[in-house]
Amino acid sequence: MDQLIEAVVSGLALAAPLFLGASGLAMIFGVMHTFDFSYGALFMYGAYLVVTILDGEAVGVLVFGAAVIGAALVVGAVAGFNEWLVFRRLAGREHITTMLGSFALLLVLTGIAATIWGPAGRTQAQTRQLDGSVTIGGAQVATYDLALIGVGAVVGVGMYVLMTRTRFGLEMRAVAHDRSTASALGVRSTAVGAGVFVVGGMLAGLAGGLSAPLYAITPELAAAFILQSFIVVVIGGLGSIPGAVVASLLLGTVNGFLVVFLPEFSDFGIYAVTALVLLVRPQGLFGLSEKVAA
Amino acid sequence: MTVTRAAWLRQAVEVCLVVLLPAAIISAIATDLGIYVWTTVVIYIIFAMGTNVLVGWSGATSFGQAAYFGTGAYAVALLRERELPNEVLLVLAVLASAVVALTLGILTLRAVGLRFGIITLVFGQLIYLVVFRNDGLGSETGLYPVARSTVLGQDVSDQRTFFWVVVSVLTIVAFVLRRMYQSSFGLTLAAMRDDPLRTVALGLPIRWLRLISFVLAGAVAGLAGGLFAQQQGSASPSMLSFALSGHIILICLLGGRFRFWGAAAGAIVFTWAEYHLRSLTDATDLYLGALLLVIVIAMPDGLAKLWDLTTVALRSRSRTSDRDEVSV
Repeated sequence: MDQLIEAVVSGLALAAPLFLGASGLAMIFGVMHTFDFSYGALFMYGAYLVVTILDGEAVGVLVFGAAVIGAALVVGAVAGFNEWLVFRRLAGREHITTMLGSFALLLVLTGIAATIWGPAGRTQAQTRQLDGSVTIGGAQVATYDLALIGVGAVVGVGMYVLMTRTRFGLEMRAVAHDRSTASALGVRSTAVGAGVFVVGGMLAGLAGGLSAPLYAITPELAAAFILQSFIVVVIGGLGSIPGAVVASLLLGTVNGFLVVFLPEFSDFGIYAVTALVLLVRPQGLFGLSEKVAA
Repeated sequence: MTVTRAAWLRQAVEVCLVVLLPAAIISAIATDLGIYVWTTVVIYIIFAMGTNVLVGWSGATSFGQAAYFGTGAYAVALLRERELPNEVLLVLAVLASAVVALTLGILTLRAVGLRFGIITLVFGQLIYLVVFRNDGLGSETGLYPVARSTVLGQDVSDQRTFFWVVVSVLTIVAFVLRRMYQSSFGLTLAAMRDDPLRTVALGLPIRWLRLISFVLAGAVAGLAGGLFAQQQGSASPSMLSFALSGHIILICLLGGRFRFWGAAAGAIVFTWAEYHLRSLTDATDLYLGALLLVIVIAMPDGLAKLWDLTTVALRSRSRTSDRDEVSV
């Protein structure tokens, strides 16, 4: 029972940053209809910025929160710049071209990070009030894991409200559904597209900032994160945000259980689940089946 | 009959002119270091030409081609103590990657477009992890030393001799692919790329064609991987990495994926750019990425576009001079 709770909590904690990142990626996919490799670099920048702002020191929870939010805002601005520099110019091109453009952008952003921060890893000390653990039902659970789950839940609700209760959300869904009709009805689709990149970038920055105390921060973090987020988006169904929620919970929990019960296979868990899901349902859990030849 | 023979001949002459002639010039003037880099270039050309069967010919872009490249490399490395001749080693490398590609090809047959790209990426990553975690495969350090073995009983470990081995393999691969490109198979792949619905309506076995082209691309990648392991003297997990899969697609795009020789041109430019950048700066990725970004945004048809512009300009000039002669 203790181990079960431990596995569930650590799985959910793992799912939280995955969900933040993947939901932003799913939003971008919805509007751009392609994957954005450079998104992984945004996550990495979030982590680097938090480490740089706090100089790796252990700080209070408010200071840490302020640093994470600051990092998210900066990363959102970077994402907006990327949209203007690259993605706006690639609009209307073949999907594969856009995807390769984002891969080249990933190389550039990773290279810039390596130049600024060097190849050696940086570490961020855990926040003072959140470095302990609490006992739930006899199981030792890290406080920071609970905090991550809380932030994930709050952002999830926030995303839901943004998508369904605001004008921006409505316009975004309209553009994702049918860009030309939305434009004809007076939606400024270019501005909405830029907004999606900025919001998505902020989510990536948030996920990266929150992950700063958990990993050694190196330029390799970008590729590792982007692969996991891609997988979440693919399993959830391309462009589906509810799908991203379910998929990140599924993958996080599977991973949590493997870490507790079969640690030697923990790396494979995510990929094995992905392979299984895609073999049974190539369109993903929440995806609509494609009416395309083949 | 005569037409067929003419096609054979024309293609053979074209491959010889494009591959063997430059190779002879290079081997005559290049330094030992230059030969080493050119060997890498030629191996990348083989890999890129195989990958272009997917990226350019059939339009089904796989983001996991490094997995088959690496399979070939590890196949050769695993057999390093058997003292097999290269003729056998390379055939085994091709078979190993063809089998892996066939298995994954069957599994991923249902996915098309972007989804196919992502699924191949996921499976490629799975293979990378299996190798990375397996002590029998040398985990993160890989397998070494891998010798360059023999061809026709001759030792080929010398830098220049090995260059010619690699060039010979490229000649064969290029000729076979050149035949296929202009065959009904190649044309059907192009039809499938440009209009899958109509191709199905015409009654063509689209899934079979996709599977065959996937296995073909994987087999050629494995051949390149086997040669690469011999050149480097080792097989390492980086040969299976997702970064390599991305680079090889960018090479096809850089050269021009809708041209037969585009991938080869891309491999030459990319490998030399990377080589020089590495000696000039630590931030190779930064400048390489910037270069590729400019190409993706400003030159979506790749270097082949430059070739077109030049030939068009030359042709129009010769046409005007013809007219001058007539008027005189």
